Amino acid sequence: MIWLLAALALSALGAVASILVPSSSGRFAGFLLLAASGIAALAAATHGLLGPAEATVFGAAQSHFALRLDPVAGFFLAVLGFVAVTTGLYGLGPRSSDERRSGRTASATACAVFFAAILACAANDILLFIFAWEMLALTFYWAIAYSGVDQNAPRAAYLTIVVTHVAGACLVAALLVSARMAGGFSVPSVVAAISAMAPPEAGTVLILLLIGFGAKFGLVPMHVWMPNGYRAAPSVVTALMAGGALNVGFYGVTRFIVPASSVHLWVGIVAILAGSLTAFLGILWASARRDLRSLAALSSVENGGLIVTAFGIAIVGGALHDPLLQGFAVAAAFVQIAAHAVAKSTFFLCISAIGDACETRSLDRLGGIAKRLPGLAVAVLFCGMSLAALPPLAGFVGEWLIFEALMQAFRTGSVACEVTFTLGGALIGLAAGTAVVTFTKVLGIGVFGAERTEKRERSGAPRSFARSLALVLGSLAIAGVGIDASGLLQWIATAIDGIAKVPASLAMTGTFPLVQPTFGGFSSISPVGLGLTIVFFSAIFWLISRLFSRPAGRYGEVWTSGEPYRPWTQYSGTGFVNPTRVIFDVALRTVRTVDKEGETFHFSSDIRPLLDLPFYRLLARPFYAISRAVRATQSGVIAAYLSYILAFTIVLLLLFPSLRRW
Amino acid sequence: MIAPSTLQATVRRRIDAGARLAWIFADRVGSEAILCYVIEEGGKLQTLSGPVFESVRSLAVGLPAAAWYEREISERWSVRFENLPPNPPLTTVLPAERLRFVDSSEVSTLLYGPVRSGIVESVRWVVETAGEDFISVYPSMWLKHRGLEARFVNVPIALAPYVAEHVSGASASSHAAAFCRATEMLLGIEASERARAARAVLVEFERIHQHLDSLAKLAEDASLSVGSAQMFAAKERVHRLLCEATGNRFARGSICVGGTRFDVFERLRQTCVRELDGLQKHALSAVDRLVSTQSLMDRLIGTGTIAHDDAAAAGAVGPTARGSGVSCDVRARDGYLFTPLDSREALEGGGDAAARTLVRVAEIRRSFQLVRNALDANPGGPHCTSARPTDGEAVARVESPQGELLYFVRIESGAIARVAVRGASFANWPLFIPSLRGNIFTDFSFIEHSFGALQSEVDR
Amino acid sequence: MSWLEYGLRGGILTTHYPHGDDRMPDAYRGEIEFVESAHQAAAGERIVADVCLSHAIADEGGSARVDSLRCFRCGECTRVAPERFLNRNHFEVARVAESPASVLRALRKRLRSLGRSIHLRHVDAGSDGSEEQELNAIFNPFYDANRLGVFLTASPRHADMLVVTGAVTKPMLEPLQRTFAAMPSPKVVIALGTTACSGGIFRDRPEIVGPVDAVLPVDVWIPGAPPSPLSILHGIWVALGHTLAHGEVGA
Repeated sequence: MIWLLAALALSALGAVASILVPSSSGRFAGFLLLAASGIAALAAATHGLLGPAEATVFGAAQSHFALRLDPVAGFFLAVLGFVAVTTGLYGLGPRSSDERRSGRTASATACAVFFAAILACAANDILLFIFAWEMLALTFYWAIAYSGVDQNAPRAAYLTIVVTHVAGACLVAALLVSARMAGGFSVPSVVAAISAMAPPEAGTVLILLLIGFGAKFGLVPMHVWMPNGYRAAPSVVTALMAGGALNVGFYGVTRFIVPASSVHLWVGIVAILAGSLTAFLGILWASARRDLRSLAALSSVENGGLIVTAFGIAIVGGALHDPLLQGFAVAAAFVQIAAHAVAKSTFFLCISAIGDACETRSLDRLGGIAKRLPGLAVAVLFCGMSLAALPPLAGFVGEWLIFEALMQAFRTGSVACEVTFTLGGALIGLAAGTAVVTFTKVLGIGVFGAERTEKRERSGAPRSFARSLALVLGSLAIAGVGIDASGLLQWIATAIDGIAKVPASLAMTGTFPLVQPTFGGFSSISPVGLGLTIVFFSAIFWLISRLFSRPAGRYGEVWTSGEPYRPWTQYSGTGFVNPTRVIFDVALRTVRTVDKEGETFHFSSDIRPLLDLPFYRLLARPFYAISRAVRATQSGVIAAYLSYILAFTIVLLLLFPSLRRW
Repeated sequence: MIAPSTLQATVRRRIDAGARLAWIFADRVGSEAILCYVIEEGGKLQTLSGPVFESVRSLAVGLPAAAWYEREISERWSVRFENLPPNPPLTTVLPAERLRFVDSSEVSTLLYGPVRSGIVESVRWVVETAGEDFISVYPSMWLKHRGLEARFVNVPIALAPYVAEHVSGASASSHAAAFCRATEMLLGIEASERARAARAVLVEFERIHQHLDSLAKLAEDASLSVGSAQMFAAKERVHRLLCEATGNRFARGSICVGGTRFDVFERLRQTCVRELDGLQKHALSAVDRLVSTQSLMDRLIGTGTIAHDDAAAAGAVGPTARGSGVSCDVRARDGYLFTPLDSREALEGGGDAAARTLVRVAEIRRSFQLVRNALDANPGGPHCTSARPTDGEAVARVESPQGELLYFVRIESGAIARVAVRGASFANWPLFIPSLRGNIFTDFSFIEHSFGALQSEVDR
Repeated sequence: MSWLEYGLRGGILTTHYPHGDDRMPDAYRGEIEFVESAHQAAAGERIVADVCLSHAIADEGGSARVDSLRCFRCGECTRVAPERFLNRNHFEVARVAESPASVLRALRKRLRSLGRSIHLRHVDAGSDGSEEQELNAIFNPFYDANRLGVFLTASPRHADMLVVTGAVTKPMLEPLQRTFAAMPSPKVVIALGTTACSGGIFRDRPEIVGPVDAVLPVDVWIPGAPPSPLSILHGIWVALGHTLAHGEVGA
């Protein structure tokens, strides 16, 4: 518990220090304290995971400021802590080009976001949780609006605050209703109350909670703030936001929805369908994006969808009284959470480095990274492969586990479940394929492409040990989570106990080097084995080519139909995903404009995603109509207002007796 | 000769009254530059020419057909055309970066050529695309410019048809026939009926083998291997027939000024008695089968569409024009060929690649019929008529496989002073780029082969 | 009837050449030969050299020689002086470098390492269009070059043999050189057609850089305007080292 308090204190101190200490020392101090806070959080997490199954509570159990550290919170603190360490470490390097002025706002917001996130995960009281949630929303707004240099920052921040608050309102309503049912504000009692609720109320509460938490990790259609929001904030801060704070939404689902809905089958089905649809649409929209940050944001939406699907399966398992399925699905979700956190945070850190090196984050203008900055290229390769779920990295294990869970449709014995599982599986399969296309685009066009623009004398930001260390740490974590997935599963076994009420030994067998669900020999993989196989065969092929190849040939110019090679003959990202765009145009609705102005053509293309702002505008129309109508009552004439008061008093007087009776 | 101030106005007036602009070319007599407009009025060609001084009014704005001729003349003959819409040069090969017209990083530029895949003639395309479509397409021609028009100068008249055959080897007979016709008009003689019949047969065989080549390439593009092989096999039989009759697979060296170099008609008649039936049966059955193959026609329908009005305004000729419903068969107008033809010109209205293909199929059938007519008629006469050298100039035309081919010959002091060539492919080229709009990359080779252009007669 | 049946019904059209004999029609102008007649020309009588547009007839004082690489087989000289210039319907007209023998040996050695099957890349450096159609014809059912292991490729990186048609025009000089540089060794260059072999009637034109051998190291020359597909097959067969070129004495 002391470590938890230390983490909170250090991050608060970091925020304050960034504001007070002037210029780059303030920024340095802020990120240093962020990293320290992350280490403290990791220590606290270890405590929580290794500690007793019941929680350790700080402060009086009934107090509104009580903190709670149980294995579930421990897991999330571990994830948050790791992301904070890498982000803080990265921030110790030079200021990046997308941070405003001296970068102190960036470090301050990062610390503040971390503080709010830890607080939310450790809150033992509903009110504290809501307070932390709101603080998270505000720090997000602060980060998006004030710490970056994007032109669109004010609009993005406004959209963020609107969506998060609408979601927050749903959240607050649901939690307060449950608290009233529970008769108290502590988290365990509220969870128990939700479980005990009668179906109509339970359904409303659970759906409201899903909407509320969904806005944080981007459940469609609440994802609208993410692409522009993540683009506006500096990528260092976005690493913490997308890789770290995003998980608070999952914490909420894990804590409040999963245990409570284990009697409501339909909640699981809704979660699976919503999750798989989110996954597919998210990555589809990502594939059409040209800006790396928007692309990464939508990839987070995809991952969010995958995790919600896994939670949905867990809920179904609980409702069907199949503890193995339930435990396994929760484990799958946790592995995916961990995989996504490390990969996405490292990816955003890489984007920050790319932006400094190439002065652009637009995919179609990047190039020459693999030649000039091979280390960075390797880091992006790790991130990209993990996000595209390629073995033997982290993302592969998570997605494999989710697919395995979906394949258990035959065990459910319920037609509705089988159909849902199949549908979900199909959508997630589509999502997986599109993810490969998307990250092939990122890596092939952006990272491994040759220089696209003619001038490139400056090599960008100076090399920094701290930055390189952060990226190395992130890449190792990606590889580690993938290869040592069985080890990770041992750690999260105790966390699963708390949720699924399943003894850990039954839920997963993660004996090194295998990972397999306990379904009686259904299937298993060995990420370690995969990794070793890849390395082994690569070495064999290299050896063969060395031994049997002829003397080295000639180097020649790239063949371009007899013309000299120029960099602009390379494929553009838009061209590469053109087939995907054409096939799924129903969901993308591409708009292309070609204007001829004299000799030059101006070309621009954009997508109008189906469940994006147009959807909201449609929803908002009745509200606008109502508010226009209501505005008519605000005529500014004092007599009108006096008559309103009179009318209202009369109505009250008439109703008062009947109200009293009721 | 018309005074420079009224030349363009006269041309304009005649065209507004219904004439068709066929050609504009330049000449230099002494130190004076002459501009010649060739128009077709009432089925007959007329040349209006006049000296040009510093600058000339351009007709291109209201008359798209004039544009490319004026561009070439302004670049190669240093004639300034006022109000000529600005364009990158036609006859200079610019570096590719100067031909990029789209300012977006999403769009990548594809350099297609000059060394393209397959056994094709060299031409370079700078294509800007955002995936598979054509946003901006710019061709670079003149890569094969060999200076043919200059090569003619001072060549002995008896040997000059060989130079004409070098302009385009694949349509050698048409070029030689057009050149010889122009020279004969100039010299005031006419080849005998027998020689003219022989020329007609050679040109019709040339039409057959060139159309079969086009169809074979279309079948190859659609991966119809057997169809393409059968087309090429039929084409091979035509070449073998020509080789047996004339000694060259493309019938080169057969046509001369005054007639043919030996009794080509007799050789053709003897060879066709043996070979023509088999060849015709094979070719027509394969061709009919090809155009009823739905998988090929599906690729061609709606691809590379040219509207009737665009084709007529741009002065298109040959199967390209006929596919869009523009009537332009030279054989029906000038009495060049052996027998004046009926006006059963093959016209299709679609304007797309399928229409042009159907026009070619109909023309193959008709060519076989014309060959038989000519051989059956078996006219008499010497195979060559001699003439005394005279000075003068003349314009003649022939319906080559690609369309109307025009030759201008001017003889001064007994020697060739100027020859100008307008290949049919040159007249159709301006329509190629607009026809690409709305199509994607995979349609490109279908459109290219449905146009059937020969680059060597464009670049000369 | 499907296309398959239709094709099968057509029967086998393919020639056996070069594993068997084939011949061109008698009238085919394959080579023009100068005949030394019993009646020697009187000193000073010019052999009709000025009837040749490409200056292929070299007047050697009472005798003459027809340069096969410059002759575009128009047949004019055979009509003007039929007793002196004879037309032969030979189609095996490909030539290799005449000397020294070490060059030939080096070529053969280089070719042997190509193995039994080669890929061709074609470049049009400024031809009149007919050589391309004849080169295309070697893949038609009558000649079927694929049965000899000869295939066409689009990328010079995969090509063993470069076939160039036409005399090299100024704009095509660099693309041609780039194509040659893009081919990996060992590689062979064939100049196809009279204009490619010697420049033909364009020999000294300002628009032309020169014949192909002025730009690239040519190994086999196949003259003709255009050379027939059988001549092209012969030339490829010579290039592969399986047969002798015209005028070569067996080694």
